[in-house]
This record gives sequence, structure tokens and C-alpha cells, in this order.
Amino acid sequence: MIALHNVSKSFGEKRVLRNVTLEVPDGQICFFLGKSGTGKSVLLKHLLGIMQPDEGTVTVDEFQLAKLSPERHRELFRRCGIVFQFPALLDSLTVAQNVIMAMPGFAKWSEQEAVDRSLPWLKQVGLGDEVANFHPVELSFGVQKRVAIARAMAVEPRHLLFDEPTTGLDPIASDAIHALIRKVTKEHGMTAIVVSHDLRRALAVADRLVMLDAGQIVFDGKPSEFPRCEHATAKQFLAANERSYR
Amino acid sequence: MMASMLAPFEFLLATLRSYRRPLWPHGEVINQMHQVGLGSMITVIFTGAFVGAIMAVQVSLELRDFGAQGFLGGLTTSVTLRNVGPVLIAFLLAGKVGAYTSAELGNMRVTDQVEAIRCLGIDPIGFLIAPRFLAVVVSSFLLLLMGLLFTLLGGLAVASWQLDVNTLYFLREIPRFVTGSSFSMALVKSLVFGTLIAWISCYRGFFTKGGSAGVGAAVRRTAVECLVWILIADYVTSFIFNRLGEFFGWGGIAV
Repeated sequence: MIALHNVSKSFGEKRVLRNVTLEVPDGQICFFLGKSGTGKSVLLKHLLGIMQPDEGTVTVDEFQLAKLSPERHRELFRRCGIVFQFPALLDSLTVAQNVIMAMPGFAKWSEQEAVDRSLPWLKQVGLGDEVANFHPVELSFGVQKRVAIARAMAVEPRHLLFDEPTTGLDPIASDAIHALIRKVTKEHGMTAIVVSHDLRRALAVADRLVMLDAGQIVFDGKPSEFPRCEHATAKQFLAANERSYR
Repeated sequence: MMASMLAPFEFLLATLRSYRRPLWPHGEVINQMHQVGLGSMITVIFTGAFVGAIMAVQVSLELRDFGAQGFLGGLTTSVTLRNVGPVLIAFLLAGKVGAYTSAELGNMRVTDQVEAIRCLGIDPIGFLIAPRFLAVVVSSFLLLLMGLLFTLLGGLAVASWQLDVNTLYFLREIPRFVTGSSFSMALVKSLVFGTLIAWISCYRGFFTKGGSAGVGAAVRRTAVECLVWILIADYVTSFIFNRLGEFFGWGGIAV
């Protein structure tokens, strides 16, 4: 269970989050939608304890994020896998090493052992041993994203967080990544928190949509309920979504 | 202010602590040594040879006035080994190895690679810095020693071919000026300079901020700070060695 209670955050004069209260039960795919600069990514950073709220509390399972020792924080990081907007794979390592780098014992494994241990995770994201020995720069952006998802999954987290997972991808690759998010989280019973601008794919994949505007939640419900939302930003998103179909 | 002054020392301490439990990938230190060391070998050989050659020409000009060219081998080698060689080669390595390491780490920082490692529950200092630090110290030390060997060869070549000094005579005079303390000083300076290059480049690279402009700034600071600290360390080690030499009565000419 991920829970935020009355979370507020300001950067100088600018108030980015205002009294955000939210509970995401285990196993749910929850999309955070909103315009740029409305606090979605800031909210995500709060869930990892990378940022601390000015007011309010954030809880992930049994972790109270306000007072974590470095050791407990590392445990939290293993509980919550994150896929960044850009894949952030280590250029100096092979794909296989990138995938298993957080596993205990990694430092002792040879490159072949790294390939063997990474394969199950690469297969989960539709890749195989043909990419295992490549370096990230030798792969397309879409494949790098898949590797980043495999890496996040390899620590066997309970929750997966995605920060704009389809930035820079073509529509086909975006569809594939969203299908992958649904497949892997449902298969492993994980919670998925996805920060996105992409309403069309959110409607197709999410169990729940949360729309943020000026740091506040303006919609929180099922995707099927979203078209009935009266908020101006929601209407703008729907109109833009309809235009993209034409 | 105080915190920022202590930050490099805390960083060094965290790096040294991380060696208790290695986290980096199998073969990473060798890989890093290959990256930073092998690519610098030719440059170091050329630099070393020409530093030796320049020193031989300069010392020869001074000695000629006194009709003391017989001391060329000893004086050239002593001055080069104790001071000029390590400093000039370390300058070169600061530009090559230091800049490379700083740019690589800086790029990792601005492309979220460091954050990604942290978010996987891995200590980025143990994972990224520890193998690079070790590789840069060892590579710089070995490259400096190799460069010093080539300063000797460069001086010898110029003395034989250009200055008409007999090769055997050049070599025979070396032990009169170059003692165990000269070699010790060269070894210690090489190790100190290598450690400084590793420390500064890793620290500046790791704490890069501000996108690609920030990477450029980190590399510039690495280069400048390495040069300044190498000169300071050169003075301090020379001073300490000379004092120790006086105290223990070591032979050789302190330069």
C-alpha cells in the first residue's frame, strides 16, 4: 500500500503540491496525469524518499518515509523499482550487467554468469540473449527502455514507478511499453505508478487515473469515469486526445 | 563553508570505506585501467622522452660554461627523476586521465545514471567511484614510472647523438647523483600525484550538476585543480624528503 496524507511541497515561492491525499492499494496500475510542471514527478520522488514533503506524510508499506536510516532507505529502494524518463543505463556495463547489477553477489559474477542470470528478466520484457552482451549505446531507445524495465524488475520490487516511460518513443514502441507495463505488473502482482501525459494509453492500460493540476488532485477515479470529469484541464486532455485520433 | 571544505575529505573517506565490501562488476578495475592507462601510454612515452631530452640540453648549456659536461648524466637524471619528470608527466595525466574520468562521471550524473544506481539500493560511491579511483591511482603511478624511464632514455639519446657525450660516461655518472632517496622520491611523488588526480577527478565528476555545461565546468575544474595541487604536493614532498635526507644523512643532491 502506498499512501500520501496531506502532502504539500514548495520550491521557494512556488507551491508544487497542495494537500495531496491518496492511497494506492497493492496490485493497482495508477496513472498520474497532468500538464508539465503540475507536480507529478515531484510526487514520484516523494514516494522514493528522494524528496521530503514540507507538510504531510508518505508511507510505502511499513516504511514511514520521513525518518529512514540509510540502511532502511536502501530497503525501500529495493521495494520500489523505478524506471526513469531516460533509461539511465550504465554505459560502461553490458545489458546483462545492467539488469542484474543490484543483485547480491553481482561483484563476483563473470560476464557469462551475468548473461545467464539476466536472461529470465530480459525475456520478461520481450528481449533475449541477442542483446545481453551489447552495451546500451548500441541499442535503440525503445530497447534501452525495455532493459531499464527489466533492471527495475530484477530487484523483485513490490511496486514499480515509471516517470514518463514513453518519452522519445514512436507510437508503436509506446504501445508496446504500455502493454508491457500492464503485463509485467499484473503477472507479478506489482503496484504500478505511472507518471504520464499520454491520456489515450492511460485510458487503455490504467486501473485508476489521478489528474493533478497546480499541485492538487482534480480527478481520481476509474478510466471509464474520466470523460465525465468537468475540470477544465481534464477537458483539455480529452479534446487533445480526440484530435489525435482524427 | 566548513561543510563544503570537508566534503572532499568525506568523499575520500567514503571511497576508502567502500573497499571493505567491493560492489563493482567483475573485472571493472582492469577495464578502467585499460580505458585510462593504455590510451595514455604513447603520449606518456613521448612526453617522458622529450622532457629528458629538454633537460639534457638545458643542463648541458649550464655545465659547458664550467667544463663539467661529464656530470651531465648524473645531474640530468637526478633533476628529472626528483622533480621535473614527475610534475610534467603528472600534468599530462591530469589532462588525459583526470579529464576523462571527470567527464565520464559527470555525464553519468547529468543523465541520471548515478540516481538510478542509488534507486536500486546500491551505494554509487562503492559501485562507480571505488573501481575508478583504484584504476586511476594504479594507472597514473605506473604511467608516471614508465614516463620517468623514458625521460632517462630521452636524456641519454640527446646526450649521445647531439651533445657528443659518451653513453657509458653518461650512465656511469648517474649513481653519483641518483641515490636510493632519488628513486624513493620519484616513487612517492608518482603515488601522491596519481592519488591527487584520482581524488580530484572522481570528486568533481561525481558532484557535477547542470547538464552538459556542468560537465564542461567539472572537467575544467578538474584540470585546473589537479595542476595547482600537483605543484603544491611537489613542493611539500620535496621539502619533507629534503628534511628527512638531512636528518638521516641520505646521499644525493636534493633538488
